[in-house]
Amino acid sequence: MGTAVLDSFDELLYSAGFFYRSVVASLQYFRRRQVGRGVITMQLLFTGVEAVTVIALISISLGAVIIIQGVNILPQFGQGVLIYKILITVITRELGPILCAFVVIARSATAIATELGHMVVSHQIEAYISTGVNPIRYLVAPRFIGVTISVVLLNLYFNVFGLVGSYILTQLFQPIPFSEYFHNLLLYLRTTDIISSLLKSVIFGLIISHTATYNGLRVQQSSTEVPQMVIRAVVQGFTLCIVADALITMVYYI
Amino acid sequence: MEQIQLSMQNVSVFYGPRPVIDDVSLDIKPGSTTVVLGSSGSGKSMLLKTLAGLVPPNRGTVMLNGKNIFALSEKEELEFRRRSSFVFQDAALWANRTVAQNVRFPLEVHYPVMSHQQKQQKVERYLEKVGYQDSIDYRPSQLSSGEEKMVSFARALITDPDLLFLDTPLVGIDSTAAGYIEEIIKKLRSDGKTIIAGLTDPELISLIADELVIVHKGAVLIHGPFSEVRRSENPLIQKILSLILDQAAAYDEDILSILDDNGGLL
Repeated sequence: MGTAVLDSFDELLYSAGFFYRSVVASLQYFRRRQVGRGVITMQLLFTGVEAVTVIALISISLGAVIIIQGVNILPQFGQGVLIYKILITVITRELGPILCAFVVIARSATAIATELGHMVVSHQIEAYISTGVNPIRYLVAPRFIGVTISVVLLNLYFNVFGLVGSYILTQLFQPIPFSEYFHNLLLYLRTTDIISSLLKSVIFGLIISHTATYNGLRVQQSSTEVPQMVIRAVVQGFTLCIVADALITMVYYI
Repeated sequence: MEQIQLSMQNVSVFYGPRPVIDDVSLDIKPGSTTVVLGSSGSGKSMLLKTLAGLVPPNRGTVMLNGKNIFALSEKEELEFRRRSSFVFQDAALWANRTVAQNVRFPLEVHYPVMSHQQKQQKVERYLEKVGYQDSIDYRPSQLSSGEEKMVSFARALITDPDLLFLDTPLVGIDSTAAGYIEEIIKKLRSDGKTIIAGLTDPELISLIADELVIVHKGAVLIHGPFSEVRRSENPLIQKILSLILDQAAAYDEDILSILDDNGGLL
Protein backbone atom coordinates (compact mmCIF):
# COMPACT_ATOMS: atom_id res chain seq x y z
CA MET A 1 0.00 0.00 0.00
CA GLY A 2 2.78 2.39 1.04
CA THR A 3 4.86 1.44 -1.99
CA ALA A 4 1.88 2.03 -4.29
CA VAL A 5 1.35 5.52 -2.85
CA LEU A 6 5.07 6.31 -3.20
CA ASP A 7 5.06 5.01 -6.81
CA SER A 8 2.03 7.17 -7.64
CA PHE A 9 3.72 10.19 -6.09
CA ASP A 10 6.91 9.45 -8.07
CA GLU A 11 4.91 9.18 -11.29
CA LEU A 12 3.11 12.44 -10.54
CA LEU A 13 6.45 14.20 -10.02
CA TYR A 14 7.86 12.66 -13.20
CA SER A 15 4.78 13.70 -15.15
CA ALA A 16 5.04 17.25 -13.76
CA GLY A 17 8.72 17.39 -14.77
CA PHE A 18 7.86 16.13 -18.26
CA PHE A 19 5.09 18.78 -18.54
CA TYR A 20 7.49 21.53 -17.46
CA ARG A 21 10.13 20.47 -20.00
CA SER A 22 7.50 20.19 -22.74
CA VAL A 23 6.19 23.70 -22.03
CA VAL A 24 9.72 25.17 -21.96
CA ALA A 25 10.61 23.38 -25.23
CA SER A 26 7.37 24.64 -26.80
CA LEU A 27 8.04 28.24 -25.73
CA GLN A 28 11.55 28.03 -27.21
CA TYR A 29 10.41 26.22 -30.35
CA PHE A 30 10.36 29.17 -32.75
CA ARG A 31 13.52 30.78 -31.33
CA ARG A 32 15.74 27.76 -31.91
CA ARG A 33 17.23 26.32 -35.06
CA GLN A 34 15.06 23.29 -35.67
CA VAL A 35 15.20 20.39 -38.05
CA GLY A 36 11.87 19.26 -39.46
CA ARG A 37 9.55 22.20 -38.91
CA GLY A 38 7.11 20.11 -40.98
CA VAL A 39 6.09 18.18 -37.85
CA ILE A 40 4.10 21.14 -36.52
CA THR A 41 2.44 21.77 -39.90
CA MET A 42 1.40 18.12 -40.15
CA GLN A 43 0.03 18.22 -36.59
CA LEU A 44 -2.03 21.35 -37.33
CA LEU A 45 -3.31 19.79 -40.53
CA PHE A 46 -4.31 16.51 -38.89
CA THR A 47 -5.74 17.92 -35.66
CA GLY A 48 -6.94 21.38 -36.60
CA VAL A 49 -8.03 21.03 -40.22
CA GLU A 50 -9.08 17.43 -40.82
CA ALA A 51 -11.40 17.53 -37.78
CA VAL A 52 -13.39 20.52 -39.08
CA THR A 53 -16.07 18.35 -40.76
CA VAL A 54 -16.82 16.44 -37.54
CA ILE A 55 -16.83 19.65 -35.50
CA ALA A 56 -19.12 21.37 -38.03
CA LEU A 57 -21.63 18.50 -37.99
CA ILE A 58 -21.72 18.31 -34.18
CA SER A 59 -21.99 22.07 -33.64
CA ILE A 60 -24.60 22.75 -36.35
CA SER A 61 -26.74 19.86 -35.08
CA LEU A 62 -26.41 20.93 -31.45
CA GLY A 63 -27.14 24.59 -32.23
CA ALA A 64 -30.13 23.65 -34.37
CA VAL A 65 -31.58 21.46 -31.59
CA ILE A 66 -31.21 24.29 -29.05
CA ILE A 67 -32.81 26.85 -31.36
CA ILE A 68 -35.75 24.62 -32.37
CA GLN A 69 -36.43 23.46 -28.80
CA GLY A 70 -35.98 26.96 -27.38
CA VAL A 71 -38.19 28.68 -29.94
CA ASN A 72 -40.97 26.15 -29.30
CA ILE A 73 -40.77 25.76 -25.51
CA LEU A 74 -39.42 29.00 -23.97
CA PRO A 75 -42.15 31.40 -25.30
CA GLN A 76 -44.74 29.25 -23.48
CA PHE A 77 -43.17 30.51 -20.24
CA GLY A 78 -42.71 34.05 -21.52
CA GLN A 79 -38.92 33.53 -21.66
CA GLY A 80 -38.36 33.44 -25.44
CA VAL A 81 -35.36 35.74 -25.19
CA LEU A 82 -33.54 33.18 -22.97
CA ILE A 83 -32.73 31.19 -26.13
CA TYR A 84 -29.74 33.49 -26.75
CA LYS A 85 -28.43 33.08 -23.22
CA ILE A 86 -28.77 29.30 -23.52
CA LEU A 87 -27.04 29.29 -26.93
CA ILE A 88 -24.05 31.23 -25.59
CA THR A 89 -23.85 29.18 -22.39
CA VAL A 90 -24.02 25.85 -24.23
CA ILE A 91 -22.15 26.57 -27.48
CA THR A 92 -19.58 29.17 -26.43
CA ARG A 93 -18.90 28.54 -22.78
CA GLU A 94 -19.60 24.93 -21.97
CA LEU A 95 -20.10 22.32 -24.68
CA GLY A 96 -17.99 24.02 -27.38
CA PRO A 97 -14.62 23.67 -25.64
CA ILE A 98 -15.32 20.27 -24.05
CA LEU A 99 -16.76 18.64 -27.20
CA CYS A 100 -13.82 19.93 -29.24
CA ALA A 101 -11.52 18.44 -26.61
CA PHE A 102 -13.33 15.08 -26.82
CA VAL A 103 -13.03 15.04 -30.61
CA VAL A 104 -9.31 15.85 -30.39
CA ILE A 105 -8.76 13.16 -27.72
CA ALA A 106 -10.56 10.58 -29.86
CA ARG A 107 -8.75 11.49 -33.10
CA SER A 108 -5.37 12.98 -32.23
CA ALA A 109 -4.42 11.93 -28.69
CA THR A 110 -4.88 8.29 -29.67
CA ALA A 111 -2.84 8.79 -32.86
CA ILE A 112 -0.03 10.63 -31.03
CA ALA A 113 0.22 8.09 -28.18
CA THR A 114 0.18 5.17 -30.66
CA GLU A 115 2.83 6.73 -32.92
CA LEU A 116 5.19 7.62 -30.06
CA GLY A 117 4.67 4.23 -28.39
CA HIS A 118 5.62 2.40 -31.57
CA MET A 119 8.63 4.67 -31.99
CA VAL A 120 9.84 3.69 -28.51
CA VAL A 121 9.38 -0.04 -29.15
CA SER A 122 11.25 0.08 -32.48
CA HIS A 123 14.06 2.18 -30.92
CA GLN A 124 13.37 5.14 -33.21
CA ILE A 125 13.49 7.49 -30.22
CA GLU A 126 16.94 6.16 -29.28
CA ALA A 127 17.96 6.66 -32.92
CA TYR A 128 16.94 10.33 -32.65
CA ILE A 129 18.96 10.73 -29.44
CA SER A 130 22.00 9.06 -31.02
CA THR A 131 21.75 11.55 -33.90
CA GLY A 132 21.79 14.50 -31.48
CA VAL A 133 18.08 15.27 -31.59
CA ASN A 134 16.29 15.92 -28.31
CA PRO A 135 12.97 14.00 -28.49
CA ILE A 136 11.15 16.52 -26.28
CA ARG A 137 12.13 19.38 -28.56
CA TYR A 138 11.69 17.50 -31.81
CA LEU A 139 8.73 15.20 -31.13
CA VAL A 140 6.86 16.59 -28.12
CA ALA A 141 7.06 20.39 -28.56
CA PRO A 142 5.53 20.50 -32.07
CA ARG A 143 2.69 18.23 -30.93
CA PHE A 144 2.15 20.41 -27.86
CA ILE A 145 1.94 23.55 -29.98
CA GLY A 146 -0.02 21.90 -32.80
CA VAL A 147 -2.63 20.28 -30.56
CA THR A 148 -3.13 23.38 -28.35
CA ILE A 149 -3.55 25.74 -31.33
CA SER A 150 -5.84 23.18 -32.98
CA VAL A 151 -8.16 22.91 -29.94
CA VAL A 152 -8.45 26.71 -29.85
CA LEU A 153 -9.14 26.86 -33.61
CA LEU A 154 -11.67 24.01 -33.46
CA ASN A 155 -13.47 25.81 -30.63
CA LEU A 156 -13.63 28.90 -32.83
CA TYR A 157 -15.07 26.86 -35.72
CA PHE A 158 -17.48 25.22 -33.27
CA ASN A 159 -18.80 28.65 -32.26
CA VAL A 160 -19.09 29.86 -35.85
CA PHE A 161 -20.89 26.71 -36.99
CA GLY A 162 -22.95 26.40 -33.80
CA LEU A 163 -24.16 29.99 -33.75
CA VAL A 164 -24.27 30.90 -37.45
CA GLY A 165 -24.59 27.54 -39.21
CA SER A 166 -27.36 26.33 -36.96
CA TYR A 167 -29.24 29.62 -37.53
CA ILE A 168 -29.12 29.05 -41.29
CA LEU A 169 -30.27 25.43 -40.87
CA THR A 170 -33.20 26.32 -38.60
CA GLN A 171 -34.47 28.86 -41.17
CA LEU A 172 -35.80 25.86 -43.08
CA PHE A 173 -38.12 24.92 -40.20
CA GLN A 174 -38.41 27.89 -37.85
CA PRO A 175 -37.64 31.25 -39.47
CA ILE A 176 -36.23 33.93 -37.13
CA PRO A 177 -35.43 37.40 -38.53
CA PHE A 178 -31.69 37.71 -39.22
CA SER A 179 -31.23 41.09 -37.49
CA GLU A 180 -33.22 39.99 -34.41
CA TYR A 181 -31.18 36.80 -33.99
CA PHE A 182 -27.71 38.34 -34.30
CA HIS A 183 -28.60 41.53 -32.42
CA ASN A 184 -29.81 39.52 -29.42
CA LEU A 185 -26.92 37.07 -29.65
CA LEU A 186 -24.33 39.88 -29.48
CA LEU A 187 -26.33 41.57 -26.73
CA TYR A 188 -26.02 38.51 -24.49
CA LEU A 189 -22.45 37.59 -25.46
CA ARG A 190 -20.05 38.97 -22.85
CA THR A 191 -16.26 39.28 -22.92
CA THR A 192 -16.04 36.89 -19.95
CA ASP A 193 -17.84 34.23 -22.03
CA ILE A 194 -15.19 34.54 -24.75
CA ILE A 195 -12.31 34.55 -22.22
CA SER A 196 -13.73 31.52 -20.39
CA SER A 197 -14.13 29.64 -23.68
CA LEU A 198 -10.61 30.50 -24.87
CA LEU A 199 -9.06 29.67 -21.50
CA LYS A 200 -10.76 26.28 -21.49
CA SER A 201 -9.51 25.52 -25.03
CA VAL A 202 -5.92 26.39 -24.15
CA ILE A 203 -6.00 24.33 -20.95
CA PHE A 204 -7.69 21.38 -22.67
CA GLY A 205 -5.10 21.58 -25.46
CA LEU A 206 -2.26 21.42 -22.94
CA ILE A 207 -3.91 18.53 -21.06
CA ILE A 208 -4.53 16.52 -24.24
CA SER A 209 -1.05 17.04 -25.67
CA HIS A 210 0.55 16.22 -22.31
CA THR A 211 -1.41 13.02 -21.65
CA ALA A 212 -0.90 11.84 -25.25
CA THR A 213 2.85 12.46 -25.48
CA TYR A 214 3.62 11.43 -21.90
CA ASN A 215 1.78 8.11 -22.12
CA GLY A 216 3.11 7.43 -25.62
CA LEU A 217 6.67 7.81 -24.40
CA ARG A 218 5.95 5.76 -21.24
CA VAL A 219 5.87 2.61 -23.41
CA GLN A 220 9.02 0.67 -22.56
CA GLN A 221 9.70 -2.51 -24.48
CA SER A 222 6.73 -4.32 -25.88
CA SER A 223 4.18 -3.44 -28.55
CA THR A 224 1.46 -4.85 -26.26
CA GLU A 225 2.07 -1.84 -23.98
CA VAL A 226 1.04 0.54 -26.78
CA PRO A 227 -2.77 0.01 -26.58
CA GLN A 228 -2.57 0.10 -22.77
CA MET A 229 -0.85 3.49 -22.86
CA VAL A 230 -3.28 4.77 -25.52
CA ILE A 231 -6.19 3.86 -23.22
CA ARG A 232 -4.44 5.65 -20.34
CA ALA A 233 -3.95 8.73 -22.53
CA VAL A 234 -7.65 8.75 -23.44
CA VAL A 235 -8.95 8.15 -19.90
CA GLN A 236 -6.58 10.71 -18.35
CA GLY A 237 -7.40 13.20 -21.12
CA PHE A 238 -11.17 12.89 -20.63
CA THR A 239 -10.94 12.96 -16.83
CA LEU A 240 -8.56 15.91 -16.56
CA CYS A 241 -10.48 17.95 -19.17
CA ILE A 242 -13.78 17.43 -17.29
CA VAL A 243 -12.19 18.29 -13.94
CA ALA A 244 -10.53 21.41 -15.42
CA ASP A 245 -13.85 22.36 -17.06
CA ALA A 246 -15.65 22.14 -13.72
CA LEU A 247 -12.96 24.21 -11.97
CA ILE A 248 -12.98 26.97 -14.61
CA THR A 249 -16.81 27.09 -14.55
CA MET A 250 -16.77 27.37 -10.74
CA VAL A 251 -14.23 30.21 -10.93
CA TYR A 252 -16.43 31.92 -13.56
CA TYR A 253 -19.35 32.12 -11.11
CA ILE A 254 -17.32 33.22 -8.06
CA MET B 1 40.86 17.20 -32.63
CA GLU B 2 40.48 15.84 -29.11
CA GLN B 3 40.21 12.05 -28.93
CA ILE B 4 37.04 10.63 -27.45
CA GLN B 5 37.74 9.07 -24.04
CA LEU B 6 34.82 6.97 -22.85
CA SER B 7 34.51 5.10 -19.58
CA MET B 8 31.92 3.88 -17.11
CA GLN B 9 32.27 3.55 -13.35
CA ASN B 10 30.19 1.20 -11.21
CA VAL B 11 27.25 1.42 -13.59
CA SER B 12 24.05 -0.49 -12.88
CA VAL B 13 20.85 -0.43 -14.93
CA PHE B 14 17.69 -2.01 -13.57
CA TYR B 15 14.51 -3.29 -15.19
CA GLY B 16 12.31 -3.47 -12.12
CA PRO B 17 14.26 -5.18 -9.34
CA ARG B 18 16.52 -7.11 -11.75
CA PRO B 19 19.86 -5.56 -12.82
CA VAL B 20 20.40 -5.69 -16.59
CA ILE B 21 23.81 -4.13 -16.09
CA ASP B 22 25.38 -4.95 -12.74
CA ASP B 23 28.10 -2.70 -11.31
CA VAL B 24 30.16 -2.43 -14.49
CA SER B 25 33.33 -0.38 -14.80
CA LEU B 26 35.02 -0.07 -18.19
CA ASP B 27 37.63 2.07 -19.94
CA ILE B 28 37.48 2.24 -23.73
CA LYS B 29 40.83 2.76 -25.44
CA PRO B 30 40.57 5.46 -28.10
CA GLY B 31 41.30 4.14 -31.60
CA SER B 32 40.77 0.52 -30.59
CA THR B 33 38.11 -2.00 -31.47
CA THR B 34 36.38 -3.36 -28.41
CA VAL B 35 34.16 -6.38 -28.93
CA VAL B 36 31.49 -7.15 -26.36
CA LEU B 37 30.72 -10.86 -26.14
CA GLY B 38 28.01 -12.66 -24.26
CA SER B 39 25.08 -14.97 -24.75
CA SER B 40 21.61 -13.67 -25.68
CA GLY B 41 20.12 -11.60 -22.89
CA SER B 42 23.45 -11.12 -21.16
CA GLY B 43 23.17 -7.32 -21.38
CA LYS B 44 25.38 -6.56 -24.43
CA SER B 45 22.90 -4.16 -26.07
CA MET B 46 22.14 -2.37 -22.81
CA LEU B 47 25.87 -2.01 -22.12
CA LEU B 48 26.40 -0.40 -25.54
CA LYS B 49 23.39 1.90 -25.14
CA THR B 50 24.47 2.99 -21.67
CA LEU B 51 28.03 3.67 -22.88
CA ALA B 52 26.60 5.67 -25.79
CA GLY B 53 24.57 7.82 -23.41
CA LEU B 54 21.23 6.59 -24.75
CA VAL B 55 20.06 4.88 -21.55
CA PRO B 56 20.79 6.64 -18.25
CA PRO B 57 22.08 4.29 -15.54
CA ASN B 58 20.30 3.88 -12.21
CA ARG B 59 23.68 3.88 -10.46
CA GLY B 60 27.19 4.93 -11.43
CA THR B 61 28.42 7.31 -14.11
CA VAL B 62 29.37 7.21 -17.76
CA MET B 63 32.22 9.63 -18.44
CA LEU B 64 33.04 11.30 -21.75
CA ASN B 65 36.41 13.07 -21.69
CA GLY B 66 36.14 13.38 -17.91
CA LYS B 67 32.55 14.70 -17.88
CA ASN B 68 29.32 12.90 -17.02
CA ILE B 69 27.80 12.06 -20.41
CA PHE B 70 24.29 12.77 -19.09
CA ALA B 71 25.24 16.24 -17.85
CA LEU B 72 26.87 17.64 -20.99
CA SER B 73 25.98 21.12 -22.20
CA GLU B 74 23.82 21.25 -25.32
CA LYS B 75 26.83 22.20 -27.46
CA GLU B 76 29.00 19.39 -26.02
CA GLU B 77 26.25 16.84 -26.53
CA LEU B 78 25.68 17.89 -30.15
CA GLU B 79 29.43 17.70 -30.81
CA PHE B 80 29.59 14.20 -29.25
CA ARG B 81 26.62 13.05 -31.34
CA ARG B 82 28.23 14.43 -34.49
CA ARG B 83 31.41 12.47 -33.76
CA SER B 84 29.65 9.23 -32.78
CA SER B 85 27.07 6.93 -34.35
CA PHE B 86 25.04 3.95 -33.28
CA VAL B 87 23.95 1.02 -35.45
CA PHE B 88 20.98 -0.60 -33.74
CA GLN B 89 20.31 -4.32 -33.64
CA ASP B 90 16.92 -3.85 -35.33
CA ALA B 91 18.12 -0.99 -37.60
CA ALA B 92 15.70 1.50 -35.92
CA LEU B 93 14.99 3.38 -39.13
CA TRP B 94 12.42 6.17 -38.84
CA ALA B 95 9.26 4.68 -40.25
CA ASN B 96 7.80 7.96 -41.51
CA ARG B 97 10.88 8.78 -43.60
CA THR B 98 12.08 7.35 -46.89
CA VAL B 99 15.45 5.60 -47.19
CA ALA B 100 17.04 8.81 -48.53
CA GLN B 101 15.49 10.92 -45.76
CA ASN B 102 16.68 8.46 -43.10
CA VAL B 103 20.27 8.62 -44.30
CA ARG B 104 20.15 12.38 -44.89
CA PHE B 105 18.72 13.29 -41.47
CA PRO B 106 22.04 13.31 -39.52
CA LEU B 107 23.43 15.71 -42.15
CA GLU B 108 20.42 18.00 -41.63
CA VAL B 109 21.09 18.00 -37.89
CA HIS B 110 24.86 18.50 -37.99
CA TYR B 111 25.50 20.24 -41.32
CA PRO B 112 22.56 22.62 -41.81
CA VAL B 113 24.46 24.82 -44.26
CA MET B 114 25.31 21.96 -46.65
CA SER B 115 23.25 22.27 -49.84
CA HIS B 116 20.46 19.81 -50.55
CA GLN B 117 22.27 18.63 -53.66
CA GLN B 118 25.50 17.92 -51.75
CA LYS B 119 23.55 16.03 -49.11
CA GLN B 120 21.74 14.01 -51.75
CA GLN B 121 25.00 13.08 -53.48
CA LYS B 122 26.50 12.03 -50.18
CA VAL B 123 23.42 9.93 -49.36
CA GLU B 124 23.64 8.11 -52.70
CA ARG B 125 27.40 7.53 -52.27
CA TYR B 126 27.02 6.04 -48.79
CA LEU B 127 24.08 3.85 -49.82
CA GLU B 128 26.19 2.51 -52.67
CA LYS B 129 29.10 1.98 -50.27
CA VAL B 130 27.00 -0.33 -48.07
CA GLY B 131 25.66 -2.23 -51.08
CA TYR B 132 22.08 -0.89 -51.05
CA GLN B 133 20.66 -1.17 -54.54
CA ASP B 134 16.90 -0.60 -54.20
CA SER B 135 14.89 2.64 -54.51
CA ILE B 136 15.91 5.47 -52.19
CA ASP B 137 12.26 6.55 -52.07
CA TYR B 138 11.11 3.38 -50.31
CA ARG B 139 9.88 3.51 -46.74
CA PRO B 140 11.54 1.18 -44.19
CA SER B 141 8.43 -1.05 -44.18
CA GLN B 142 9.11 -1.86 -47.86
CA LEU B 143 12.65 -3.12 -47.15
CA SER B 144 13.95 -6.53 -46.16
CA SER B 145 15.68 -6.73 -42.78
CA GLY B 146 19.06 -6.95 -44.54
CA GLU B 147 18.33 -3.78 -46.52
CA GLU B 148 17.20 -2.02 -43.34
CA LYS B 149 20.53 -2.91 -41.76
CA MET B 150 22.43 -1.55 -44.79
CA VAL B 151 20.49 1.71 -44.66
CA SER B 152 21.07 2.05 -40.92
CA PHE B 153 24.77 1.51 -41.53
CA ALA B 154 24.80 4.23 -44.19
CA ARG B 155 22.94 6.54 -41.76
CA ALA B 156 25.55 5.88 -39.09
CA LEU B 157 28.52 6.46 -41.40
CA ILE B 158 27.33 9.54 -43.25
CA THR B 159 28.71 12.02 -40.69
CA ASP B 160 32.10 10.26 -40.75
CA PRO B 161 32.08 9.52 -37.00
CA ASP B 162 35.20 8.89 -34.89
CA LEU B 163 33.34 6.55 -32.54
CA LEU B 164 30.97 3.80 -33.64
CA PHE B 165 28.68 1.64 -31.57
CA LEU B 166 27.63 -1.47 -33.46
CA ASP B 167 24.94 -3.61 -31.90
CA THR B 168 25.19 -7.01 -33.64
CA PRO B 169 25.40 -5.41 -37.10
CA LEU B 170 25.58 -8.67 -39.07
CA VAL B 171 22.55 -10.40 -37.59
CA GLY B 172 19.68 -10.97 -40.02
CA ILE B 173 21.50 -10.07 -43.22
CA ASP B 174 22.56 -12.18 -46.17
CA SER B 175 26.17 -13.04 -46.96
CA THR B 176 26.51 -10.41 -49.72
CA ALA B 177 25.37 -7.59 -47.43
CA ALA B 178 27.46 -9.01 -44.60
CA GLY B 179 30.48 -8.95 -46.93
CA TYR B 180 29.99 -5.23 -47.65
CA ILE B 181 29.55 -4.42 -43.94
CA GLU B 182 32.54 -6.53 -42.87
CA GLU B 183 34.74 -4.66 -45.34
CA ILE B 184 33.49 -1.32 -44.00
CA ILE B 185 34.17 -2.36 -40.40
CA LYS B 186 37.72 -3.47 -41.32
CA LYS B 187 38.30 -0.16 -43.14
CA LEU B 188 37.00 1.85 -40.16
CA ARG B 189 39.37 -0.06 -37.89
CA SER B 190 42.35 0.54 -40.16
CA ASP B 191 41.40 4.26 -40.24
CA GLY B 192 41.86 4.33 -36.46
CA LYS B 193 38.21 4.83 -35.53
CA THR B 194 37.08 3.74 -32.09
CA ILE B 195 34.64 0.85 -32.48
CA ILE B 196 32.59 -0.72 -29.70
CA ALA B 197 30.70 -3.67 -31.09
CA GLY B 198 28.51 -6.49 -29.95
CA LEU B 199 29.44 -9.16 -32.47
CA THR B 200 28.61 -12.83 -32.92
CA ASP B 201 30.57 -13.57 -36.08
CA PRO B 202 33.66 -15.56 -34.93
CA GLU B 203 35.73 -14.82 -38.02
CA LEU B 204 35.14 -11.08 -37.86
CA ILE B 205 35.81 -11.03 -34.11
CA SER B 206 39.16 -12.72 -34.64
CA LEU B 207 40.03 -10.25 -37.39
CA ILE B 208 39.14 -6.96 -35.76
CA ALA B 209 38.97 -7.31 -31.96
CA ASP B 210 41.73 -5.48 -30.09
CA GLU B 211 39.93 -5.76 -26.78
CA LEU B 212 37.31 -8.23 -25.57
CA VAL B 213 34.66 -7.62 -22.95
CA ILE B 214 32.80 -10.70 -21.80
CA VAL B 215 29.41 -10.04 -20.29
CA HIS B 216 27.40 -12.55 -18.28
CA LYS B 217 24.08 -11.75 -16.56
CA GLY B 218 24.80 -8.03 -16.80
CA ALA B 219 28.25 -8.22 -15.18
CA VAL B 220 31.60 -7.93 -16.92
CA LEU B 221 33.53 -11.16 -16.36
CA ILE B 222 36.71 -9.96 -18.01
CA HIS B 223 37.96 -7.04 -20.09
CA GLY B 224 41.35 -6.97 -21.74
CA PRO B 225 43.35 -7.51 -24.91
CA PHE B 226 41.91 -10.26 -27.12
CA SER B 227 44.95 -12.55 -26.73
CA GLU B 228 44.91 -12.26 -22.93
CA VAL B 229 41.19 -12.92 -22.62
CA ARG B 230 41.49 -16.00 -24.85
CA ARG B 231 44.13 -17.37 -22.47
CA SER B 232 41.91 -16.95 -19.39
CA GLU B 233 41.46 -20.14 -17.39
CA ASN B 234 38.13 -19.13 -15.88
CA PRO B 235 35.77 -22.00 -16.93
CA LEU B 236 32.79 -19.67 -17.50
CA ILE B 237 34.86 -17.40 -19.76
CA GLN B 238 36.20 -20.42 -21.63
CA LYS B 239 32.67 -21.74 -22.07
CA ILE B 240 31.35 -18.42 -23.47
CA LEU B 241 34.40 -18.07 -25.73
CA SER B 242 34.04 -21.58 -27.03
CA LEU B 243 30.30 -21.09 -27.62
CA ILE B 244 30.85 -17.95 -29.66
CA LEU B 245 34.32 -18.14 -31.15
CA ASP B 246 34.34 -21.85 -31.88
CA GLN B 247 30.95 -21.81 -33.59
CA ALA B 248 32.60 -22.02 -36.98
CA ALA B 249 34.68 -25.02 -35.99
CA ALA B 250 31.67 -26.74 -34.45
CA TYR B 251 29.67 -26.04 -37.57
CA ASP B 252 32.41 -27.48 -39.76
CA GLU B 253 32.51 -30.62 -37.59
CA ASP B 254 28.72 -30.98 -37.85
CA ILE B 255 28.93 -30.77 -41.62
CA LEU B 256 31.80 -33.28 -41.74
CA SER B 257 29.92 -35.72 -39.54
CA ILE B 258 27.13 -36.07 -42.10
CA LEU B 259 29.45 -36.45 -45.07
CA ASP B 260 31.13 -39.68 -46.11
CA ASP B 261 34.82 -39.98 -46.97
CA ASN B 262 34.17 -38.91 -50.57
CA GLY B 263 32.22 -35.80 -49.56
CA GLY B 264 28.81 -37.30 -50.27
CA LEU B 265 25.92 -37.49 -47.83
CA LEU B 266 25.96 -40.53 -45.58
